[in-house]
This record gives sequence, C-alpha cells and structure tokens, in this order.
Amino acid sequence: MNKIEYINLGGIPLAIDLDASEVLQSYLHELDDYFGKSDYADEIINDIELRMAELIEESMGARKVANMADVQKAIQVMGRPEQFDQSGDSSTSHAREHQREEAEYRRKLYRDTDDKMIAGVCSGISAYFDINDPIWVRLAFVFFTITGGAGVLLYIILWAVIPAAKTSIDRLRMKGEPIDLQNIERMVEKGIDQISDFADKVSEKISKKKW
Amino acid sequence: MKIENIKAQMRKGVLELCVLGLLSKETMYPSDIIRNLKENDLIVVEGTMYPLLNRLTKDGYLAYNWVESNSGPPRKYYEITSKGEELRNELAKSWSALSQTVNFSNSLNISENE
Repeated sequence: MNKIEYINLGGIPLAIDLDASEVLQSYLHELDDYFGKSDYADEIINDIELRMAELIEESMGARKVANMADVQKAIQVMGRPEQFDQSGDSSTSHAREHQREEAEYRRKLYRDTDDKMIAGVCSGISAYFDINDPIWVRLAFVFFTITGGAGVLLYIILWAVIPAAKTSIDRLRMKGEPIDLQNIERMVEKGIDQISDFADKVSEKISKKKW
Repeated sequence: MKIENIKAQMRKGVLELCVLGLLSKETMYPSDIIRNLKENDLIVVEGTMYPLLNRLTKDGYLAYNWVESNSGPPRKYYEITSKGEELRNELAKSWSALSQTVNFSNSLNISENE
C-alpha cells in the first residue's frame, strides 16, 4: 500500500504517490534556486511545471496514479538545472557549488526511528549533535537512570515532545544534510531497501514454516 | 576541455537561430519546438528551452498567444515578431559566413594532411 497525494502541477491535477511527490517537489525547489527571484522566473517555472505534468501523464498512460518512475522519467527529459546551460559554463556552476557549501543546513531534532532501542530518542539526539555513535547518549541515559531514576522520566518526556522523523526530508534535516534531489532519492532508495529486506525476512519465515 | 563541452558550445551558439527559423515557418507551442530540436540533436534536455524562449520573448523577438487546448489548461503558442525576423536574417547571414569559413579551413587541413 502506498499513500497518494493530489497536486496541481502547472494547472493539471495529478494523483501521485507520496514518495514520488517528494522527489518532484525537491526537483521544483532546485529549479526555484536555479532561476532565482527574477520577474520571469515564475513564468519559466510555470511553463516547466506544465510540461512536467504533460510528460508525467504521457508516461502514466492508462494508470490513474503517477509513480516514482514517471517522475524520474520526466525529470530526465527536462534535465537537471545544471544541464540547462549546456556549455557547462564553469564560472557559474562553480559559484553555485560554492554557495551550496556555504549554505547552512539547520538541523532539527527528531527521533531516529530507523536506529532505535526504544523510541529513537538517543539516536536522534546524537544525530542532532553530530555524535558518531548513539551509544554514548544511551549510556548517559542509563547512568542517570541508575543514579536516581531521572533518566527514565527525561526519556519519556523527550519521547512525547520530539517528533519522529517520518519522511525522507525529516531524516535529512535530522542529520543536517542538504535537502536536495540526490539526497532525497538516496533516502527513498534506502527506504525501499529496508522494505525489501523486510519482505525477504517475512518470506523466509513463511517458507520455513512450510517446511 | 571535454569534446562534449565543445560540441555543446557549438550547439548553444546556433540555438537562437534555429528557434527563430522554426517559428518563422509556423507558430508552435514549446513541446513542438522542443521535439523538432531534439530530433536534430540540438538540445539534450528540455529545460534548456524554457529560459531561452522566455528571454527571446522578453527582448521582443517572439510573442505568444494563449490557445485553449482540448486536454488540460490553455497553452502558449509562440510566433516570431518583425523584430525577431530581422534578428533571424542577421543571424542567418553570419551563420552562413561562419559555416563557409569553418568548412573552408577544415577542407584546407584535410588536403594538407593528404
């Protein structure tokens, strides 16, 4: 099962898988960054959005919901912003890369539910403070629990207060990584790997039972 | 410098002329223009076209009309303006001069090599 979203892309209504929608959104963000804030940027982006919608619909054929493959195909046809000035004009692309490095990606505190003992509080905290291994935060909680029990209370409060990192974008924010298309795609792929791992395990179990 | 880069530079220079040339024959909407240029390997990704069309329109070489379509929202149909026609003539002249020079100097090299 996959959740879907309804979006308006350049005036065309589209039903689209949630993960595909995330990738599409970050692509459009890249375009925003590339064209900047000129008067004409909006118009160009509108034209591109309309064309993207056409391409996605073309790729969908008779299907009712756009998926990741449709979006990726459309992005490939439209091209990434860095491919737009075909010359590979080094001066501008260098400037942009530089900007990218300079830009600060503000971390947000989330619970890392992919790497959890109980609820991912400790792994989330260690991601926030860039601590390599969540074991140190976990040990600290254990220490405070033994010496008076404050650790348990603190953990429960943090569990309630800190949101879980649900989407790929959340997970990038948690680790302070730039929210761009490559990273999101990477995250989504990772998610798919996990799902297929899970599916493998389940099917293994089922086949064991049969024997 | 990579070969692909050199080729891309060459294409980039003649892109405006090609767009103006296409539009001087008939009005088109972006997808038509793009399909035409793609078939002839003049552009690699579609995204290149939109800023270009926008710039040419802004500078008064092209104009567009909104045309209702059967499926989906209205589309922009681009046409060339008289100013654009002038630019096309100008560019076409310098292109033919340039291509003659380039072809000539290349043929000299070939005959020297032989």
